[in-house]
Amino acid sequence: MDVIEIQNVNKFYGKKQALKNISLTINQGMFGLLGRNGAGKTTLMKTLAALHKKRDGSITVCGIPIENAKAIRSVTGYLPQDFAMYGGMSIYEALDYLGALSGMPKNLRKERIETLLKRVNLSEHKHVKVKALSGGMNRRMGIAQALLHDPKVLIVDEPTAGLDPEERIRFRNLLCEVAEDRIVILSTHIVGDIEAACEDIAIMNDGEILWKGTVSELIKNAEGKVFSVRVQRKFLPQIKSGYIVTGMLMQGDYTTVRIVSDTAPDIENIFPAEPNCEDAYIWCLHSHGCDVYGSEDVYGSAGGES
Amino acid sequence: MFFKECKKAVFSITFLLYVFVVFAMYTSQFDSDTSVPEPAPSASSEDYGYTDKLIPETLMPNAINGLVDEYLSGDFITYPMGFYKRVVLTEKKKTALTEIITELTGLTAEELDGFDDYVPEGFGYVTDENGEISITHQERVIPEITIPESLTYERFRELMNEADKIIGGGSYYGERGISRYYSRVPKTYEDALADYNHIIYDEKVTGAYARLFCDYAGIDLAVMPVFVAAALVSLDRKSRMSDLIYSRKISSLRLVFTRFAALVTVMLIPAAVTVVMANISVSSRYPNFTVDLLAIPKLAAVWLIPNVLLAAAMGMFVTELSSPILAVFVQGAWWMKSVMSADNLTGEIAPFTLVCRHNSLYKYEAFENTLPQFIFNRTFFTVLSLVLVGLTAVIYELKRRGIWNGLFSSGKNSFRKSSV
Amino acid sequence: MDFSRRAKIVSVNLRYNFLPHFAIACVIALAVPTIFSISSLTERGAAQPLEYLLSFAGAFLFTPVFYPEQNKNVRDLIRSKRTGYLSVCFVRVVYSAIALAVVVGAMVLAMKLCESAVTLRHFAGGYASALLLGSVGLFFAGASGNVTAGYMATVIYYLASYAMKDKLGAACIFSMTLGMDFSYKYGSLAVAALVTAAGFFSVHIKSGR
Repeated sequence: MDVIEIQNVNKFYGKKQALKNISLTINQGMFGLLGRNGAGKTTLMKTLAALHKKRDGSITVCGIPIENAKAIRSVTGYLPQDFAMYGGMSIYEALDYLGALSGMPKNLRKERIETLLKRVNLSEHKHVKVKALSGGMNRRMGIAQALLHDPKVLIVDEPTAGLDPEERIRFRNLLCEVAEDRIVILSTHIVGDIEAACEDIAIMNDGEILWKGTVSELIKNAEGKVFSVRVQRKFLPQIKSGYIVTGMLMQGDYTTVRIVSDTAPDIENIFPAEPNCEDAYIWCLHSHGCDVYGSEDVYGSAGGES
Repeated sequence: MFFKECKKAVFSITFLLYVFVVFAMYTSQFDSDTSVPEPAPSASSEDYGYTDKLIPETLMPNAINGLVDEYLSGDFITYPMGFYKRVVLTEKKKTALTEIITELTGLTAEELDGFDDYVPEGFGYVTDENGEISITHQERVIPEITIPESLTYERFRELMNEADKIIGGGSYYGERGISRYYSRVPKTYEDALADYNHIIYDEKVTGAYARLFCDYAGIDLAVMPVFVAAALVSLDRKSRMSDLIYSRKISSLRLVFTRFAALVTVMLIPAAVTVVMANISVSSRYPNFTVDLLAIPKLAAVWLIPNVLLAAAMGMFVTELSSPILAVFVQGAWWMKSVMSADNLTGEIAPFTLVCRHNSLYKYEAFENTLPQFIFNRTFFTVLSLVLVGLTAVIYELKRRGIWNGLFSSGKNSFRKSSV
Repeated sequence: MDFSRRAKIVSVNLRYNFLPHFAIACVIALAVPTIFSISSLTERGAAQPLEYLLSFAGAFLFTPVFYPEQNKNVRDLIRSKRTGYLSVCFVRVVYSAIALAVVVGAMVLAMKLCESAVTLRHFAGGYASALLLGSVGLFFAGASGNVTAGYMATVIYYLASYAMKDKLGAACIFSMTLGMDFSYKYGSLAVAALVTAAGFFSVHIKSGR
């Protein structure tokens, strides 16, 4: 069975350590890499795609050591965070060219492109110029090019960022289908993507793996740490300054607030709540000593997306 | 936002190179230039340098001798675009030229073509007994020429212009050729003193140096900003993120003009530093005289700012329209054409010359004569720059609304609102 | 089969990443007669249009070799494919060199037809100068990751060559016009090859981090 083994990997950008002693085993299916912006997700993914060199440690992808870049690139498909291609080309031409770069012979390219375009719903648009594509179409073309040479491993970096909700769901479903017979590594800072699609996940922060396991384990960890309370709106600033708030629901003068806390907060009428994936993620960050109070980034991206 | 744009422009490799060029140009050209010596009465008149004066008595025989020399040698040296060009005449043209020479000299075609002892004027290498090579000046040997009494100066100029036309323009004998190559006369002591007094007292030294300073600085400032501007705009296309943030608050026109203002501001800073350096350098060379410290800044503002404006505006406009490569090409080609075809470096500033030249501390009159053209020229380029920036804003707006993607643009640069 | 794959890579690059630059090189060649005379030139005079203007054709052909992937996302995408990124760039260098030979050759031929005293040396010398100027652009564009800086470097190099003349030795692009020995041109070629290699190396270092 295909597997990615990562052992004690370190990487530096100058003096800054971008990856700190990363060890992971990734099996077939969908693997989620969760973390805020700048946590090191993209660096790790580029390292797996043999685009970046690690400093030490070892990585094997389906048994191939990462140093053998050519062989690695034959078995991996990579979709960068912001997929872009020479804009003057049509979708078909661009895929054809990328296929040629992947070493595919002409008839195989033709066959695969047709199949994939159908699969990502772009068959009718194959003569549209790349620069004229909408965000969703662009991303779908991106996944098509990454799958073109039928790689054993698919690496997709923040694929749903900037997509509208409907497109995001469609895209997620597409990835799930793809993951049936290969390894798909998905990085995101959007908790919803992970919750819906991934079984195994790892949470990264500041170049480290904070936590790894399954989604249900993550949620289980947060049991008893999530509380809900209905308060008057005027108390909101007070609550926000004292506790980690993961959700708010406005109801007239009152607001229902979700709070993540080690012990039950000293607020009247507060009751424990079932943790969702988002609460669990925030709890995980908090319990590992990450600052999630004032961090607009975490708060905004994780909480705001639900 | 203005300061953010300034910062973006300053921290770029192109800006570093720009600063390097501005200072390299200053130190290698202007700062190493000579000073104006005070003339002292002396016996030899050649000590005072040369000036241009059209004196028919000396000019006519010299020019006619030169023409006969080249006629006999068989080829003519011309500078039609400021670059050397050797011309060989066809038989038909040669016959036409012979007729002109006959009228100028009285020599017939037979006398000319039958002259066998011809030696061209020039420098020759001579090897002596010891095998050492020395360069000697070689006197020309051409038939004896007596200019007909009846030949008036006006007729002479007419014939010479005709000869120039036959040769193909740019020869030593056209209007420009005659005044450049045959009007050079040694300055008298009085001339030299008058020039000196004019520079030192009327222009307070820096007035004359200001023209020379702008002459040099204008060359690089007419092209280098295009790189900085094109790089900034294309870099910006790579990360349209910031624009998307601005876009909700700010109009295209304001965004583009702010960027333009920021670019021009940061690029004028090194230029301004060289202005100060020039002032210090010039005043230290003339410690005993009153120096007008405002002369260089004033002229530099009028002369150089339009250069920076235009190159920056062109960089932004063409990059936004198409690509940074085309921007570099367009401005580079215009600049090259302007610099290379400038065959008069003093005092003839045409209304549409991109790079204005006045490569001399002297010849104040020539500059003053074309001053109205110069003012028009600078105003024209300033207005043109603003028009280009306005057009840039229009294109920017069209792209922002997704109406148009630009000329031959490639999508890797075009931005998508969804890819935030 | 493999041939058709390579042919695809070359043809796509020719179409999307070469034609615009080749068009500019042609415009430069066509502009030569508007600034310089190309007819009835002496041996030394004939070197001038080649070295002073046509050398920019080299700058415009070689500087953008890394430009299609200037955007980091495009570069990562291309690099994630099996075919080495630098070998794709090398293909661009090869066809640009051929195109440049055609442009310089056509110009020398046109000069010959206009009765200038041109020889094969003019072709080789003009070609070497254009390659040298192009390699400078390629290096700076590659090392800085910014194509505009590459062009800027070519202009600065041109001006430096103009100012320092024979002091630059083999690195001077005007050696024929200045009447320097033709053997300097071999040096120019070597410098151009070295600088191009350095450009590739810097891109390799940068992208492999």
